[in-house]
Amino acid sequence: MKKAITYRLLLPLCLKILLVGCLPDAADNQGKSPDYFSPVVSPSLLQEDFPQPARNPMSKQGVLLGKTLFYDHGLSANGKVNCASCHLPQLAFSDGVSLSDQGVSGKMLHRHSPALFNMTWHKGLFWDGGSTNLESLVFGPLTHPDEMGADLNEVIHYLRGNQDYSELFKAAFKTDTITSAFISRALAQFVRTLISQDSRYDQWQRKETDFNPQEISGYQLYQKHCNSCHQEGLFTDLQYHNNGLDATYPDPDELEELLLGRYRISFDDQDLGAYKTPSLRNIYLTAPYMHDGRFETLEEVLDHYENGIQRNGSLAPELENGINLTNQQREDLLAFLATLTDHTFINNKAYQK
Amino acid sequence: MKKIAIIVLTVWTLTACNDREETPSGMAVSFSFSHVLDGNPLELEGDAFTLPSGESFTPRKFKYYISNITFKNSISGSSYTVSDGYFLIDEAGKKKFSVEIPSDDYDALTFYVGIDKARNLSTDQVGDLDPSNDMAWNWNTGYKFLVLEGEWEYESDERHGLVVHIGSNDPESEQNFKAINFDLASAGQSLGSEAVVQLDFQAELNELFMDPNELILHELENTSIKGGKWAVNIANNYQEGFFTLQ
Repeated sequence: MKKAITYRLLLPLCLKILLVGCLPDAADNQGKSPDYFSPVVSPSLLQEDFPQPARNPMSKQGVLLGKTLFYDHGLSANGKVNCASCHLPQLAFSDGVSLSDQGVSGKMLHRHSPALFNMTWHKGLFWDGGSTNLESLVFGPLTHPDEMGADLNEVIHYLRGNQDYSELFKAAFKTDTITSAFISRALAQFVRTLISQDSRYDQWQRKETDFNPQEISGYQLYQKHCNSCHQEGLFTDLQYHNNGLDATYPDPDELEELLLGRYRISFDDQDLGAYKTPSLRNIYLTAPYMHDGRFETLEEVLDHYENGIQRNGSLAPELENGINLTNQQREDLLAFLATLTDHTFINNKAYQK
Repeated sequence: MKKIAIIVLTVWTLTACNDREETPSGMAVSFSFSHVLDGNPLELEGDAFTLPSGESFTPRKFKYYISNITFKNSISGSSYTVSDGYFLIDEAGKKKFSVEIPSDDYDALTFYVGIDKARNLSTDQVGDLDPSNDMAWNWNTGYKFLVLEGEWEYESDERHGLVVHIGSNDPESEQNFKAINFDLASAGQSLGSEAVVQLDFQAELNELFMDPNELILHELENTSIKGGKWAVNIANNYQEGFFTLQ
């Protein structure tokens, strides 16, 4: 009897000691844990969950650190470029120019800055999907000699020398050692919070507002002509398609297959000239259009789909016959696309410096 | 009674919290790597070497990852794989590392050059996989498995750059992730009950340029090799005959 009682008392004690003793940071973790969270997702995004990598769950502190890094010019080689130089909140985190020359070298880049929102659902990042998660994407713009041109060792040196950052990293990751992995994790956390889900379209889907007849007509035209690639919800299928911009794809040595599209990553002939379908959300804010920003206006984009398509072996079959719309239909479609502009998103102070 | 409980508790706590629970009383195996080119010790930014194809070549950078190290005992069939072992070997930096493994009579060793697909595409950028080591691609997720850079010239004074960046478990296979096998027994290196074992490897860079695929720089259209056929060819070259156990 006595024996049984002893064990009953000891067992919970043992477990407690074991658990505490085995926590990786138990010894040096005096502060409190980061406040982990998962954002609320509007049903109009048609997503079942909010994917987050197990290694990098979002926390309030991680996002704050990520935002601080996003707006810090100190991460660039010349101290004059930050992430927001090419990803402006008021343009749905795109930059409004076809090919930016805002990088540290002043040289024109070869692809148009993509808008940043709803990124957690993207399986491939960059126009060709080379990067497969936000944590590894970050090193592209950060270190590319024509973008931020950073030497990661210098970035780490800069961050370690800054008391504010020491505290931000400690709060976000309970770490005393700032490494590039934590820099990218924080930036990824911030970018994951950039969720656009409160356009008039979303409100309409949630029965909070009505569409006028023209917008409804435009929605039906969208469903008929655009939905196969710009799938409803995220308004992209997250896939790669050759949409007939060019008949052939030059491959100059110095560009290292950059003009071949997704082929550069997949080595699949069907991916020649294929790029990731951009979202139609915030399309009125994210001009110019295409991976190289070659079209200034949506009218030009519609002209391309009507009579500009270049046919070759990798052209998306859906575009074989182009997309033909009457003038009235164009107006209706454009009226619907305007409902995808998310003012709540671009004015959200939480995303801004 | 109380004493017994405390002893049980103490032992339990110690064993449960020991990170190397699965590797009791083992041996420390040190790996060290040296590199030669054309039979001479590799020197970066030094005198030019002559490649098998006749070009003169001045190397500037040479580094690669070693991972997925497995020791085998072919008699008993047992084996041990070093978990989470990703080691960057850099001619200009660290050329040795050591691992702890459980004691056994191992007679075979396998390691890979490169990073397995699961880790290559993961978000774990820690240890030697830290992107500040300049081995992460910046337009693709993943790592360069082997990097050789330098300048070459052939029958002229014109110097050309050589950039060999091999990586990618592309596209759906792991064709550039190469297993290197060693027969420890026939190399006279069977491991036994020693507490510390030293394994010295030498890599001959000539092998990157030949066998089975002859790489003649002055006949290539482009000597910036970052993927495609030639990356695969070179990876096949270093799979056999590149490393020798000294």
